[in-house]
Amino acid sequence: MADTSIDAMGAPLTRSPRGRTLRRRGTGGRRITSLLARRMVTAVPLLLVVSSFNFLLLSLTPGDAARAILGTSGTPEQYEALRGQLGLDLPVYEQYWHWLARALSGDFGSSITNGSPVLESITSRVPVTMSLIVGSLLVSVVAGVGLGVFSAVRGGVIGRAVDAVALVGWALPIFWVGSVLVVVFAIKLAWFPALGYVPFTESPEDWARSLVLPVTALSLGSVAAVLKQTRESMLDVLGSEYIRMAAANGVSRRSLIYRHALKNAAIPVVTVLGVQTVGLLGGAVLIESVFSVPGLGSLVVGSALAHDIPTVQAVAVVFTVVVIVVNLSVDLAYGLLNPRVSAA
Amino acid sequence: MNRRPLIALLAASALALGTAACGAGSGGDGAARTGANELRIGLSFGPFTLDPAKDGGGAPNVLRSLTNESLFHMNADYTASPALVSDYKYVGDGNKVFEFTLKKGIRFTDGSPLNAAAVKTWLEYFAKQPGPYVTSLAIGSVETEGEYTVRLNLASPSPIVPLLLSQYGNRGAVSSPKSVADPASLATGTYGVGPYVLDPAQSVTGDHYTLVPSKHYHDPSAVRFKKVTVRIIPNPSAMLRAFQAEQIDFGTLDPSTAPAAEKAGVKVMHWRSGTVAVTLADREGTATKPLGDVRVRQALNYAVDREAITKAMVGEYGRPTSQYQTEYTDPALENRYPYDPKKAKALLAEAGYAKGFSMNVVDPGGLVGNWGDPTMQAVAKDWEKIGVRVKVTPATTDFVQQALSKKFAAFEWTPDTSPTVLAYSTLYGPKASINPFGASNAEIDALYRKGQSQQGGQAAETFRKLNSAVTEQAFNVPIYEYHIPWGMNEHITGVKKGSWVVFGADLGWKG
Repeated sequence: MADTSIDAMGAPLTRSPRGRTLRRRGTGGRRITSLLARRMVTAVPLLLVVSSFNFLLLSLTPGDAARAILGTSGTPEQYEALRGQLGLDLPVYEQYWHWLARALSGDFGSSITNGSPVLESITSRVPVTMSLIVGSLLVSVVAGVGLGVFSAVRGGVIGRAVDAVALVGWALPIFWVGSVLVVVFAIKLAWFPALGYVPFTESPEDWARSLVLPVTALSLGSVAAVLKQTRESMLDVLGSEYIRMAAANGVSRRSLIYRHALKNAAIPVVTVLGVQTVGLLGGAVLIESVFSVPGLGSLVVGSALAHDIPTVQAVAVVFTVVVIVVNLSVDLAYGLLNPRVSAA
Repeated sequence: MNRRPLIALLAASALALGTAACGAGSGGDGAARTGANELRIGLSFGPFTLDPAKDGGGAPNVLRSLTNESLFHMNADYTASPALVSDYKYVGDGNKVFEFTLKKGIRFTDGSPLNAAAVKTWLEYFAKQPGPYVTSLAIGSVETEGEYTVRLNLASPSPIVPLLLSQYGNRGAVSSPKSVADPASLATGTYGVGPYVLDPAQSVTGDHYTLVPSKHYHDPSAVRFKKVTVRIIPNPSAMLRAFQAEQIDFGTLDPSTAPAAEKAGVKVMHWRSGTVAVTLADREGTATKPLGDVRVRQALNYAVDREAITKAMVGEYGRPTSQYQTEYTDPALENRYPYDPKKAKALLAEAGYAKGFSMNVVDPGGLVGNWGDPTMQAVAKDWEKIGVRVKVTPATTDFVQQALSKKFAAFEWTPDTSPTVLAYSTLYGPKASINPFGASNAEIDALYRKGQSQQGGQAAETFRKLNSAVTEQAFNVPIYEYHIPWGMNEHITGVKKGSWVVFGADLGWKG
């Protein structure tokens, strides 16, 4: 009954917050397959653009890998010879073409500076960054949605207080929060390690402990964003006519909040979560530095300083793929939340 | 889709994290101290690569000296003693042929024997790599005589071969022939003669390295720890917090964090590590004519208030100096250019630049921590007071390129203390690596050639004269000698003041 009521009252969204027109269509796996296919097709040029742009930017950064390796020693002849050996004397487009040709066959090459196979470096660090990001997302969903609903339903002083705390959380710089957490929880209380990461396979408990502080610091901003969005959406939906009608029809308050209102409020929340996930990638770079955690962020920072083009390129590709997957997941989530709505 | 399982999963995950947190809390040992069986080291920067032939020096030496014992050992007084070598000598006069015999019964961490053929393979490999120390010793050919004797025929004479086969400059960090045949393995593993060997399964390049005892080390009694972890912590605040949380036992601090570490009960030691100096690259006045006059260069030295700048920049972790620091300096010249702006102005006027002049300087910006650019800005202010207008450009990762670009009359940098021979080949020789204008000085070139062929006290005397001439000629404006503060807990014993850099094996860690 509730679902038809919602439709009968007009679905709360006629246009998604991402600006795409939402159309009603029949449900079914065909739409999802078509969405996946279209996204795969657009992903290819996107990856090309990002990787070539990244290559160009790297070539424009001051200095080069040959100088980073030789330091202050080495004659001009040795420097030129090393540039030649590393292929840095070729035009940028040619260097990019060589990289692309290898990358297409799955060969991301070796680090210019330390000789490690780039894929190995990436695969050893992906679980770390993913632990941080997935952990932060979980916290954002649980705490953000929970507090958002609480704040919207309770209202009054408590609701406004939660709101205010969220704003403060959103405004605090991530590295500052990280440092404060370390001082309090690692140095004063000695509950968690101040830095480092323990792989899950080594000790699940230590893995979780090594993640608590970085995940808390990293998720603070997105908890605040999700909380704010949940609260606003919930207030909108709870104030709408169909909720009042449902209440008048004797639907329980619990069912009203969690079954009807939250479901309708979820689509903009999912959108915010998508945006936050992409933001978390950037935040992870900072957090990995504060907590000395060996993720992709610290890898890309170190590699960029050393002009290690193959490594930076590969990390850029990974980040792009993550962004593509996140956007796709958001669109799929729209469909799941309201089967009658799908992205065009 | 049924959302209940999803919600249940989220709740369970949150609970799991919470439980883990509580578990940690109840024990109160989140930053549990390690037992004496494990040593945890923090370094401000790590090796570029584990291949000693391609890596630089500094902090990574701590890691390398635990995995690669060198042919010779560099002592705190800048001399070298034999380590893997039993006998050594220069053959004939002129420092052109050097011969040494290896100790017997020593094995690399991969089990292969250390013999003359292995050393020859290593030295020939080293010479072909594009590494930062490859130019420090020009070897013409390497010969083996018998199973354990190696003879080096030098392409140009060198009085410091033992030093260049020590930990200083990595050439002494001989690695096994098997690893040399497969440079990819050498880049990601350790194959030296050393008490410890890298465990790749517990290491992440650029982040942390785990060392375990080598099965083949020749002196098992010297292997004190069952495990050594070396963590790279570039952020000085993170390093301080790691000390405060007792997560590391030994590591690099910096002048801004060392006092807080001491307050937290960490023992801090520091000693001469290098010079913060402005090198007057255009010292023949090729593009900036006034610098061609020694009076102008000396005026720039007199104009700097070194005491004030040193105090502000590094506090007790350094001291003012008028001398570029190498192994041979004249103590009498430490304060050769006391702060005297009047004298500086008079010298400028005498040279015909009473109204001053302008010049461009590049500094390494944030690349050398937080002192590089502020020091240069302070120096530029002092120079302005005598009428020398300076445009300072902070570089980024392109510092050396900028310094070599001929766009700058001078550059500020923070070179490590290094042997005079290397200072000459880096800065003063007509073909030195950072001598963009190709400047040369007959007196200094002659002293270098003389010192190259001398030994012991004679060479020391000649190189001391060379350094004194550099100071008198004011090729540099040295500001202060900087010290790297090292933090250590009470378990760390045997650290001696005076080494250029600290080497892992020097720290009493052998037990």
